[in-house]
Order: sequence, then C-alpha cells, then structure tokens
Amino acid sequence: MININKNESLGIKNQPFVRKRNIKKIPFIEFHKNKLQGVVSSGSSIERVYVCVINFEDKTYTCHTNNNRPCGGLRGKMCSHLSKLLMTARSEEKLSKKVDISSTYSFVPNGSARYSEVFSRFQTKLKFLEIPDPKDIHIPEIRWFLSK
Amino acid sequence: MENKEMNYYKLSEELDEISKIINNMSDLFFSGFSKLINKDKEILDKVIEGFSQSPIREVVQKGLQNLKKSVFNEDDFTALTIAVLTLQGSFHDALYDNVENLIGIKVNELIDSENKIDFNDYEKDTVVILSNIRNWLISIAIGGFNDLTSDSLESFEQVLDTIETIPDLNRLSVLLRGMTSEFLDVLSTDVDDKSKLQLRWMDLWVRAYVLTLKKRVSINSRPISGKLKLISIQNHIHRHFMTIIFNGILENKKEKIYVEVELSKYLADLVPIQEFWTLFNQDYQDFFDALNKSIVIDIIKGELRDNSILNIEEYKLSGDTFNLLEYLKSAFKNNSLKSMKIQPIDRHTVHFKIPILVDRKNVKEKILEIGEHKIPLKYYNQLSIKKQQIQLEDKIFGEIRFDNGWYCKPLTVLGPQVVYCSSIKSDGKESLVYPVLKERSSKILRR
Repeated sequence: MININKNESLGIKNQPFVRKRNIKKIPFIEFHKNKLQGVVSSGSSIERVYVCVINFEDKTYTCHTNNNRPCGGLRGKMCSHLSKLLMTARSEEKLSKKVDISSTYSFVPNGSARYSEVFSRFQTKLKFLEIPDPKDIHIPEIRWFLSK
Repeated sequence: MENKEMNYYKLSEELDEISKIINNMSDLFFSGFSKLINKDKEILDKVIEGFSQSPIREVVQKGLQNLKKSVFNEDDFTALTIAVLTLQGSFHDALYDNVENLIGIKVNELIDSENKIDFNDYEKDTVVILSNIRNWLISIAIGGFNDLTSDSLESFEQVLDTIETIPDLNRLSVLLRGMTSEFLDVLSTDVDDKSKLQLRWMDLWVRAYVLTLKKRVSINSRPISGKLKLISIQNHIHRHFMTIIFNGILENKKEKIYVEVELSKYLADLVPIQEFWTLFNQDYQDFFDALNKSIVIDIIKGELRDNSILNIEEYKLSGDTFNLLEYLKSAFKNNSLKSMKIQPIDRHTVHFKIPILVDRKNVKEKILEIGEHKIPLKYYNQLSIKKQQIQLEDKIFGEIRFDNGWYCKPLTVLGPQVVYCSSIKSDGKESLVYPVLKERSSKILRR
C-alpha cells in the first residue's frame, strides 16, 4: 500500500503553516482601505459579536457590539477583541504583510467608525459560499492565478 | 533569478524576437498608453511591421497608429487586443512545434474535438454591462498602473457583484475578480509585488477585454468513456474562486489520453485557506479516495473538452487498484499518451503543459537535466526540498511549462512512498465553516 503525505520522511516538507484561524472566534477579518477590520465573537455571550476597526490612516481604533454599543473593554487602550484581531492578522500570511502591529501602540480610541460598512462587507463575502459549485463550467482563466 | 534561468537554454532567434516584442508590449501596457514616449512608439511600429503580411494588417495598423497619436477609440483597443492575442498565440504555437528541438522532449499527439462550437454574441441586456466593463478596461490601459487607485478598483468591484450572477459571464467574472484582487493587493503592499504584476498586467487585461466581446455558448468536445487513473493534484485559487485539478490518464480500447478533471467552488476570502481542502473533500470524496488509494474510476459517460479537460457526467469507483509507480513507468515508456488541442482564445503559454516522467537522478540542485538541456524545477504549494533525502527517490512526475522561460513543475514524487506536491491538508471531517459564519453573521443582522 502506498502511503500518502509522509512528506517529512521523503525530505519534502510543508513549510510551517500559519496558525489556523478559529472562525468561531474571528468569523471575519480583512484589511480594507488602510483599515484592519473584522468581527470578533464575544468570549462570554454566544449572542454577541463585536465589530472592530483599527484605522492605520488616522491611527485610531474602535470596538462596538452588534447592538451598536461601545465595548466595555475600551478604557483608553485596546480591548481584548482588538488584540485578538491584531494577533490573527499577524498569523495570516496575506494580512501580516500589510499590518504593522508595532505601530499600533500609539493609536487612540475613536467612536466614529462606520460599522455598517464592515457588516455589509462580511455579508457580501458570505454570499459567495451560497453560490452552488459551477459543475459544468470550464474556466481556463483560473490558470492565471497561482496555487497556494 | 530570471536571467539565470534564461541561461539554461536558448530560444531560436525568431522566437526570441517575438518574446521580446511581447515583453515590450507588456511594459507599454503597464506604463499606460497616455504616456507613450518615442521608444514605445517604435515598439508599436515593430508590431505593425510584424503584421505586414497578415490578413488583419489594416485593422492592426489603423488601431495602433491611432494609439500612437493618443487617439483612444474602442476600435483601436480592440485592434490592439487582436494584435496581442495573435502574437501570443503565434509564440505559443511556435514553442509547441519546436519543443523537441528546444528542450529534447517529445510532446503528446494532439487530437481534435468532434463537436465544434463557435463564439456567439451576448444577450442584449448583457451587452450594456460589457460595454461598461470595456470602458473601464480602456481607462486603465490609457492611465497605466501609476494612475490606478484603490478607490477606482473598489468602485469597479460593484460592477463585478452584478456580473457574478450572470452565468454567461462566469469566465469573465472569475478573471476580473482575480485581476482586481491582484491589483488591490499590489497597491497596498510593497514594490516587489509591483514587478510581478508588470509581467501579468497585459495578459490579464487582454483576456478580460476579449471576453467582453464575444461569448462561447459551449466548448468544443467529444464524448468519451474508459478507465481513469488519477496521478496528481493541483489547485488554483483567487479571492472568490478555487479550482482543484486532478491529473489523470483516461484509457479505453482506442487510446490513452492525459486529462484534467476540474472541480471548482466559489469561496470567499473570509474562509481560512486550510478549510478549502475540507470543503472540497466533503463534496468530492470519491476523487480524493481514488487518488489517495489509487483506485480506478470507471468513466461511464464523459466529455473530453478543449485542452484535455474531462467533464464527468457518470462514473463509479471500480474495485480495482493500481500501482502508481509501475503504471506511470508503462504509460510513459513508449510515449503513446495523447492530449486534446487547445482552442485559439487560450493559445497562451500559461496553458502550455507537457506531462513528463523523469528519473530522480536527472535532478540536481533543483535543475532537471534532459540530455544537454537544463530546466529549473519550480515547486509550488508550500513545499521545500531537503536535497540529501530526496536522492532516495526514483521518479518524478511533472509538467514542463513555460513562463518567460521553461520550467518543470513537479506534481508527484514517486519512490518508496508517493508524495503529491500539493498541500492536501484535509482531515476528512465535515466542514462547519458555512454554518458557523452564517450563525455569526445572523447576530449582526439582529441589530
């Protein structure tokens, strides 16, 4: 019987995989218009999620609940949700190139971020998972895009 | 790095000349047609000259002369697109015809489709959307990369949201999504990525432009059945779409054909990359089993399409298994494999692939030696090689490809064990990604 995936013993090994994001804890994260933004699940209530935005342009951050209330953890410093967002960005290959975490220590709170935009972008992306697989469509164009 | 690779072999003078013109045109696209300097105009003159004996010389000449004078009509960009596609197609064909002389590898015999279908016009409603897309493409070709902004790309993405729902525009939508996504990535990262994009800008632009002009109602094909043995796996991914390609050999009483089975999914970039495999594994378990356990698949009803894509309509996993190493050795022994022809629109070196089975001993320092010829090996998919240990291996199955230079893409390493050069990370569990994301997003909707 042929063994599969014994890469290490063959001398071929996978490069260290970046840590797998727990989608239950961080369902959505992206870097958009110079902002690291996303949705972070509450650690204490299953009914609550937080919308976090770290703006690298005006060097501000904010965190609100799904009921549009400011996060209680924001007391002049980043709350645990924002920290989780930053840590996740650091471990995601694509985001880590764009986000300079060390610069965020000097950032200040700001209550005027546009949460609805983050909600809407999450919804739009989620929509793609609802499109049925294109079973009978041959798309040669995909070959222009590299394997990961 | 590229220069080093170019030293491994030499193109003929004629091929080298076409390659240079294509690269010059690529630079010109990247800098933008509103910024042409004398040197750029000379390149356009060279292209016009190259078409002097061609039936489309008048169209190309008129279009390119207008571009030189900064007259930017849609027809002129259409002429430019035709010129670039023709140049790239000629380069592709010349390479294919000369591959044995160039690198000493015999190519598969090419077979043709039985059912040929031409390109048709789009529906009236779609034509308006496509005209807008064409205008956007023209505007970025005029301005070039330096005039491109994240804002303009993001506003264009709203148009893409519309075309995603139109089945006729699947190919265009996948291409444009991937293209804008790459542009956005480059705009928000460092300079190094910019140089990578410079090589692809024209390729992606031209393909997108031509797909706004005509559609193909179906693709060329021929009906087929037989025994399919899967031998490797590859994947292609962009922001909203992913394709897994199983490479295999389809065998019946008449012939042995090198085929690709494509399985695709729309996937948002909110799904962690490691989840992709689980999602695919969940839906296409039989194919993963057939590959991992070397099980023969009985293709009861299938359709062989352009560029050897096998569309499977009816199949069953047979109880038979095979020894992959021995099977490949016999399949490649007398070079009797066949492939399907590639259609004119896809005649570009990105689609160029020649399956090859080589002895491991011919690979030294990531260089494949074929007689006097040396070709670099390029491993993808998060793999690296420990030189001293890979020497234990016996054979490498891969594909010879061309991307500004020949290279070999290893797909399966065969020896005491088999390694697929692809990051198969599925643990076989059912993916909960969609239900979890849906549930989390529903919290937001309760606001």
